[in-house]
Order: sequence, then structure tokens, then C-alpha cells
Amino acid sequence: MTMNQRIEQCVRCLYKTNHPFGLTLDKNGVCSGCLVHEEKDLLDWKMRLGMLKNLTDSYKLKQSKNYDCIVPVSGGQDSFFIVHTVIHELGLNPLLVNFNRNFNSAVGIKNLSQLRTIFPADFRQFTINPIISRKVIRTTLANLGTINWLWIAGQTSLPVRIADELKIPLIIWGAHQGIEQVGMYSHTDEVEMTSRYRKEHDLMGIDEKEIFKFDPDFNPNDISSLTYPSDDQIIKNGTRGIYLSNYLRWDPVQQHTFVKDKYGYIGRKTNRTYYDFDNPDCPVYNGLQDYLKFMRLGYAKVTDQLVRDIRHKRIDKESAKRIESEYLNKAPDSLKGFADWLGISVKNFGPLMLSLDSNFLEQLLSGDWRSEINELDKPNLNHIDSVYKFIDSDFKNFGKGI
Amino acid sequence: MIKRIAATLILDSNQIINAYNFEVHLPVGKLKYTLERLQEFEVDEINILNTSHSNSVVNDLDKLLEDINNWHVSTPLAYGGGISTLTDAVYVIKSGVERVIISANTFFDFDLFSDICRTLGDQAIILHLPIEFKGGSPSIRGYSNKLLSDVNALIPINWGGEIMLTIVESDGKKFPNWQNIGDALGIMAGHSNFILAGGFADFKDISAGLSLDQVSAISIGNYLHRVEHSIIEIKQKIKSSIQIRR
Repeated sequence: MTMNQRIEQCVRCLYKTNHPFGLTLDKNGVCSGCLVHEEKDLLDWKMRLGMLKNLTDSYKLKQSKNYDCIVPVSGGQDSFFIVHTVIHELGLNPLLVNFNRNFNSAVGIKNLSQLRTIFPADFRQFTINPIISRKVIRTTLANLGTINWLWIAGQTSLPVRIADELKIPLIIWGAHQGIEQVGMYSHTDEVEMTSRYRKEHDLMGIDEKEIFKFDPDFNPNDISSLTYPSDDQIIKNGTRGIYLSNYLRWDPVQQHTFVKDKYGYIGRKTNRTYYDFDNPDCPVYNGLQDYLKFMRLGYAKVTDQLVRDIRHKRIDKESAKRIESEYLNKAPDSLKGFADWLGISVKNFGPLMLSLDSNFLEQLLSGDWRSEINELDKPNLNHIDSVYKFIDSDFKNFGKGI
Repeated sequence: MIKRIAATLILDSNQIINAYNFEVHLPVGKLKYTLERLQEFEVDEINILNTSHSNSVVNDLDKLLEDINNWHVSTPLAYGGGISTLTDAVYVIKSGVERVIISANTFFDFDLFSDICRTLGDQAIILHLPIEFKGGSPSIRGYSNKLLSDVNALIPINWGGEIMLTIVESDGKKFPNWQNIGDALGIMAGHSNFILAGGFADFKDISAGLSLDQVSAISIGNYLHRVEHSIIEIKQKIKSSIQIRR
């Protein structure tokens, strides 16, 4: 989408043609996301589950001594559903893999703990150095307008690295967001994980090889743990990542009811979304991160939730528009703990949050935040004291993580 | 003859799309990221078909080439979309694109087509013919009265350009329709240098297509977007049986 192209909204849902994934409209003005969603009511999902079983059966203990596949988990509701499906429906022995974001909600910590406890599967976690974590997040906040880049970079590279390391070729993901949101592919394409999608859509066009250009202080070794395996490594190992949403009728609302009842999954309501089950593991995903998304793109998580409900015929477009307008401008919660952890004065956030100022990020990071954080990052006793000072009340959520 | 594996990238509103039956367009992403990967995969050539061209080929192409230059693309490129005058066609070549893709619409203005061939040379031209098999005899998509046999009769027998033959009914599918391909190539038996497209999503089919005497290249579309290492893997698998570019 270029500057001079007209932005149009789908006649059925709330998405517009400036969606960052891209969006096409057909001659009737219906968007690609709504068109592909129609397949959910047309495809023979029983037959597709059979296809999935055939595919995964061929990986059962065939190429790995220990695990049949890798399942990336965050502790969100989809993690429960995916792990349930992989173990109890497909009969696989997965290795669960988690990239710790370093800041996690209490609910998220509980859910992940529950997941590790109730499912018969090994679990492997990676936690990046928190000082590096803060450094990267400040950089992506200032330059890309997101705090989520680091976590996504880690969450999408860690399973592929472990697949290569342990020679486990199959990775099983939940939904393909490009299909769910904008109908990037037909379900029958059975699209698989690609590094191009990761770079372009997950990481906003900047991968770990390029993030250094934003900050002269960056050392490539700082984030070597985010490195995505090379094409040669992936081909040699036969690594492939499949999406369950191509084989199962994907509906997160139904999945939530299921995992809540069966596995005691807990949601977490925030003031910018009307469902409590989406991304409760991150204390700021539906808060600050969502507000930044709104400022960059003009829509927010509540829009995603409403579009999903429109397509599943749980709400009509007019009601959805009304609800969206109620939520879009709400100030994000959970800001202070995160601002303190990040080393940016919360006073910089406050007055700016509702201003939609084009210089928002510049002002957010204004003043001496860099020197302050450099001071904070010094590994001495004072530093530790100062860290404890601000994270003491919510230590589990910001800092230690999990 | 050394055969080639090409990539077809279809642009709609400045985004790359997956196309199905020439009707449904689903968004893939920005040209930059796919070009970047195709370079790394060493695809032999890239055919860009711009379906959302404005009224100005110059404007469309200038922006595109500016980006392509910035991205340091060295793979041979062909460009088509909105080329309706000799000036347009010359501009494409002067801009540094190796070949110009001429649509059936421009071809039917046969004087114009002849002018373009004379000016640029046949070898700088790819004639794109989307073939439909609705109701019996194959015709050109969008021109049900233009039968493939009529088009065949118009193309000079020793014409030196390449013909990209896309079977519309196979567009976006996982299998080519060999019956339709056989019929179309049979009708055009006097010509060679075909680029086949539509439904090529498996190394066996690509290998079978490249084995045909009339065929010089297979162009892959949706398949390369949904399977990351499709080009690399296809080249590795068929290099022992078919002479292809390394």
C-alpha cells in the first residue's frame, strides 16, 4: 500500500486495505480474510484431520530418538489447545519450547506452570539476558514502534534452532496469522512456516541480522540466541513447520471454552479488549503494545477480536464498530511496571498516550533515558538495589519473568 | 537446450498476491522480501506481472525499478502490465529490465505487436497467453471469440520470442492439467520456446514439463510462496535428469 492509494474497508468486516499483512478486496468489496474464512464452513474438516494424522504419523519416532515434534508454547490458550491436540488427538510425543519474554503476567506464569504440570511432555525454556532484552526492546520501541519484536524473534527462531540441534524435523504451530487475519492463503494450500513470512510479517521487515543498524551500541553477539538457522541447515535437517489451523476448524473462542473447562486455563481482562483470553501471558500486549499498534496502524487488538467475531457470525458489523470505538482510545494499563523495568520514566508515557502525536516515540524516549538505562545496566550493587526498588512489588512479572 | 526454472510474481495494488483461476487474489506481502529470497534461491529469472497498473507504465515501472535497484536484484527480470504502446515497451527495456511481457490484448493489435518485435527484437519479448478451456476449443481468457488456433496462425513460424502459456483452470492449483497442456501445445505444434505456468507445485510435474521438447522453462507462482525452499529443492532433484542452469 503506497501513500497515494485509497484506503478502503471491507464491506463485511472492520479491516482496511492498509492492514500491515496486506489485504485485497474482491469486486464486491469483500476482503481476502473474509473470503478465506468462508472455507471454514465449506471444507471437510474430518477429512483434513485425517490428512494431518497421515502427515504426523510419518514423523512418529522415525527421525528422532526422543521426540516426534516440537511445539512452541507461550502459555496462552492456544498453547493448551495445540498441546492437547498434539498429544491426545495426534498421539505424538512433543518437546515443548518456550522463549521467556522476561516480563510475564502473574496469570501467564500460572498458566504456563499449569501447562507444564498437566501435560505429559518435556519442556525447554530459554531466557535471554534481561539487560540485553531491555536494550533490544528500547531500540525496537524507538525505531519500529513495538515492544514485541524481541519476543517474536525469539519465539519464532528458538523452535527452529532446537529442531536443528536435536534433529527433530517437525514443528507444529497453531494458527497461521496471515490466513486468520487477511486470508493470505487458502487452507487447502497447507502453507508451512517460512523465514520470509517471519521476517516480513512477524518481525516487521527487520530480522536479527538487521536490527543492529538502529543502534551503534549493539553487538551482534548480544542477540546471537535469536539467530534463525540457515537455509542449508533447514534443508539438511528437513525442518518444516506446519499449522494446525490448516487442518482443524480454527475458532479461538471455542478453544478457550474447551481449555478453560478441561485444563483450568485462566484469562486476564484488560481495559483495551473485550475478551480476556487473548495473550494474557504478556502484561502489556493488550496495553501499551496494543496502543502502539493503534497509533501505527489505526486499529487495535479489539478490532482483531471483533473481526473474528463478525466472521464467525457472533456479532454484526454495526455493533462491532460501536464496540471498537469504545475501546480504541482507552489508555493502556500495566504501564508503570513495564516503564520502570524498561528504564524509561513513566512520566514520559503518561501525557503522550492519548495524544496521537506524530513525535510520540521521540518524546517517549526523550531526555536522558539512554544514560539512565546505561546506569541501570551497570552490574554493581547499586544497580541491583535500584532494580529491586522498582520491581519488588511485582518481581514475578517484570524482570525475572518466569 | 539448458532449461530454466522461473518465478512468476503477480502484483496487485503493489503487493504480491497468490492468484487462483485468475480471479481470486490473496495477499502475500511486499515485493522486496520475496525478491530477496528468490535471489538467495538462485531462481533463473523472475517474471513480474503487474495487474494493477495505473495509466502510466512509466510511473509504475519507475517506482518498481527504483525499489529493485535499491534491493540489488541481479536475477534477470521480465515485466508486464499495462504495456499498450511501443513507447511503453521500449521504456521497459531501456529501464534495464531484460524482457517485456506482452499481453494478449496488445498482441491482438497485430501492427503494434509487430512494431514492438521489430524495434526490440523477438528475443526481448515474452507473449503471455492465458488459455481457457471453457466449452470445447481453447481460447484466450477474456476473449472467448479468440481461439488458440487463430492466435497460433498469427504468430510467425520462426518467431524468436517466448510464449508464456498459462492454463487458467490450473492457476493456483497443486497440479497442472496435462490434458489441457497437451492440447494447447498440440495446437501450437509449429512453435517452441514455451514457458509453461499454472499448477506447477511438485518437482515431478516440473520435471515432466521441462522434459517436453517445446518447453524451455517452467514458471512457478503460488508454490514458491507457500513452500520456502521449493526452488532449491526442485533444482537439486531434477539436475541429474534435465540440463538446467546451476
